[in-house]
Amino acid sequence: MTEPQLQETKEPREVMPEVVLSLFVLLKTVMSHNAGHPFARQMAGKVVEAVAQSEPEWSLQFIRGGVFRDRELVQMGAGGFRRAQTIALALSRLGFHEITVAKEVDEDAWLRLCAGLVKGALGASDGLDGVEIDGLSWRAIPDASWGDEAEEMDPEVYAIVQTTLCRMDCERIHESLQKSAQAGEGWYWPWSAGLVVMRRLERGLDADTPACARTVELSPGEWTPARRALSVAIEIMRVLIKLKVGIREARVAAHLGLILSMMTYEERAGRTMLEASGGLLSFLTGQFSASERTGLPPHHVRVSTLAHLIAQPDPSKWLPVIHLVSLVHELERERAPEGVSIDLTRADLLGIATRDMGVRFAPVWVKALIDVHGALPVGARVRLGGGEQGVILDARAKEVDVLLGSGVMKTVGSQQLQLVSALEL
Amino acid sequence: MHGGVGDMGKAIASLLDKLVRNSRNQRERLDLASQRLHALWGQTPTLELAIGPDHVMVDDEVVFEAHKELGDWILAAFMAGVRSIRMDARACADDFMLLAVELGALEINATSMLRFRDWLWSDGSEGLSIKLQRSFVEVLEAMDIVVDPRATGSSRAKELIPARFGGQFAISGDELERVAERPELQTSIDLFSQGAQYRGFEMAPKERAMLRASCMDAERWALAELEASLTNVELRQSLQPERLARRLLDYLVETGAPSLIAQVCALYRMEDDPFATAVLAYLERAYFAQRLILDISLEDEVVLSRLGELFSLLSVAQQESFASAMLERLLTRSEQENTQQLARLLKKLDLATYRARVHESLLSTNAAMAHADLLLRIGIAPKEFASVLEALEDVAVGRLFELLPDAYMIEGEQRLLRLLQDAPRVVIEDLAAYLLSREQVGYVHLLAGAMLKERDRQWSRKTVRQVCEAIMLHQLEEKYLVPPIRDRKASLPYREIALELLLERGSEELIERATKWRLSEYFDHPDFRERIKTGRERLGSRPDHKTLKDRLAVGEEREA
Repeated sequence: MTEPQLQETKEPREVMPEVVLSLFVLLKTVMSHNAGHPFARQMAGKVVEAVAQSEPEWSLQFIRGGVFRDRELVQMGAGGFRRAQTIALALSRLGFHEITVAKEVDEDAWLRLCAGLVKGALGASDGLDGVEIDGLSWRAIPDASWGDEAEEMDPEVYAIVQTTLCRMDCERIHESLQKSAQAGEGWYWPWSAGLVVMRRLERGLDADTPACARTVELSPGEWTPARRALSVAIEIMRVLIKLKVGIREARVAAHLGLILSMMTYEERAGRTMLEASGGLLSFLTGQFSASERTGLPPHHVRVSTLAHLIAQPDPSKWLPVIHLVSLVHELERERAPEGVSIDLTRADLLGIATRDMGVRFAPVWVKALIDVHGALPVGARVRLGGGEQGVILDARAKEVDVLLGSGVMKTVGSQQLQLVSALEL
Repeated sequence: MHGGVGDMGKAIASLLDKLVRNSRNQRERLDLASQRLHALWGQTPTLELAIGPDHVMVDDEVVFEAHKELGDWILAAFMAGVRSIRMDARACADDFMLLAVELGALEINATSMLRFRDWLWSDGSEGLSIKLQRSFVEVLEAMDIVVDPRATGSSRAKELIPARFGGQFAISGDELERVAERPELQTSIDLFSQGAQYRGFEMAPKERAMLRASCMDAERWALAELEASLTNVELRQSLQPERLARRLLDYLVETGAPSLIAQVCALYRMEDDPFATAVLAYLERAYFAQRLILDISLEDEVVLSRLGELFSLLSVAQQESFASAMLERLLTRSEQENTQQLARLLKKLDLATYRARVHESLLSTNAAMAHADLLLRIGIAPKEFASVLEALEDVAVGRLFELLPDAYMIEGEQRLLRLLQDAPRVVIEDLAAYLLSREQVGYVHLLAGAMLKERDRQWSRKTVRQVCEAIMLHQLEEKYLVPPIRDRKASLPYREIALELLLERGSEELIERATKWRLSEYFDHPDFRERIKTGRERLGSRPDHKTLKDRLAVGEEREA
């Protein structure tokens, strides 16, 4: 390859704006001249050339104004955006949001696709109905549309998805923190990753709070430090939301709970809040100055303030919400007791909370926590009237969904249930 | 759409665009542009900029179209999910600058957008309400996990929770033994179960309210933030003093908490600390002292004490702002309670300093009245109050004299005299009416003395008559009525009324002295001359020819 050729060679991803441009020109040409016109064929040839440089297979997603290649944003200017919009609109009217190019295809294939897209651009919804093109396919992406339509996603499903993603993020954060600690590198809270978790969590809770809690409580697998940390954040948010505390304050307390838990929890048990208090602020502030253009945002300051207060002699005299952070952190720490392999259920944790009410824990906060869960918390083990055992999936006013040991879900009256400790079985 | 709003929208969007583009070059120039934008937006605070992919709209009308090369921040903001920007009432120019810096740094890539959303979520855009739609990045996250929720419905949620307990619940005997050895695990679930079932742990509404209030207590948050920021070097180094100051100001105005005011005092005492200086500079730029006085409750004695302490630490300009706000509050809220609270506050201040900062001589009539009223309420000494009266303008002082107790009148005599001599006629006449109504000889002396001294001034006939009547009543006619009658410098009404009353009720001796023939009377008005003549005739004087002869004799003597 000669030097000029080398210079002209682009990364496959870099040619995507050209693919979009050529597809746009083709669409417009077909609209004005129809697919059989020589101009249209000429333009289809341009698409073929652009696609050849892009090295299929790839998928192009048109979502909310953005264009993605395999979920990675295609960078375009305002002009490129407008062109992409024309394609997105046509595709969206046909009920699709993604085009997959499995291999290089000829002009005819692109002309057939564009003939369908033109119908969409003109308002029809059946332009691609029954159309099959070898090497090209298309599909709908839920929640990818514009405007209110985008909010049609089932809140419960959305909450579960967000919580699952949160859990995955938390596991990654914890793993990376552990690696840093083992390597003796700077051990700092990754703020941006933490904010992603908190934002996701907030969206999930906003969509369906019980579904979020249920997802964490009933997920399969171990109660890892990351899972317990996420549970801490959820519990704090739930209590504060139920108390109708402002979202800003709730975010701060929940985020601190997440950070503190990530920092202190080990595979089984972990350090207490007081044991960690000395290094907590340094853990938080380590990456501050380098990361903020416009100074620390208020949220960061407030989280750091709570962290600072925890190291003070009587932190809760400043801000009583620290009691809640401490209570929830302590309970989740005990979720996975050291030296045994049993994980406690939420009901067990509430049993500990009530046992130590007024001794370790401020009674009013224990009450606030119980207020969120009620008498039959999700995840609690129960014995039914007939001696059958199960786990509470969902508790309503008078009825409770119980997942039985056999894997069958049964709805029973709450009076027929007796809570059983995980340690009693 | 209303044309004015459209024009305003165009101006605001253009200025914001300019600000963002400037932020990419050099930040120093952002201050002024931010202030302009803030001022402009402040004129139509309800205006909302709707952000489109390549344009900005106000009320569904495009007010700004993105420049192909330069306007890419609009597209980036749109792609990050920003749908509209509105200014909050508490916004300041800094907020626009920070937004511009963040928008200027925003690029069309996932990392940059994520960071921008982090900033928004962390309350970075204080002072501005930014409406966000779920960004496409967030949509993408969920895309492959849920394939078609509309088809599956909520039942899918249950499917997504994998059955965890497919078999028997069982714990090994060894495990149970280990549990038994751990006293901290010896917990019975019954206490919780029974308590929750029988509502033993139910929260009282009062408890809920208490918890909610404690979590949202702005004063506590502000104090804690200040405490943390001021004592922790790591935190402080990452903070912008302006932002801390901004929150402090919000909390201060919202709560008016004495502890927060005390913190500000503590900042003033940290004279050599650059951070404290920067925080205070921001507070002062935002006229915090004025806002405090105007907005917070002044009921609490501790608040008043803290404000007193704060006043003593403020710069001269801030003290002036403080004092001016007190007067404004006094003038705009007429309730008795408010006045009493301000009087209690004034007692906490150094009076001389306060008076100096009020600039008494420049106060308007109403402000001067309010100021003096406040001073009287705190029991200012009559002698000191006399100096207040010296400084205040005439109309206010005239009105004040009508309200003052005698002790203050006595100390203010000099001012009163000056007022009677120099003040506008309307002030003098009002004051004269009041003083006469007191029916005290002292005030008649004052009035008559002033009238005599300023005998050439045209007081109204009514006032002159009232004063002259009072003079007669207190038998002061020899001193105040006789002299002006033959004094041609005195105003005619004064002379006429004085003569009239003297002829009516005066003694013969005084009438004789007042009507004794003088050559100068030929220069008087004929009517007046006639009255003097009548007076002489009443006393049985010789006819005028004798007097004419006398006059001729005097003339001859002069010629000789």
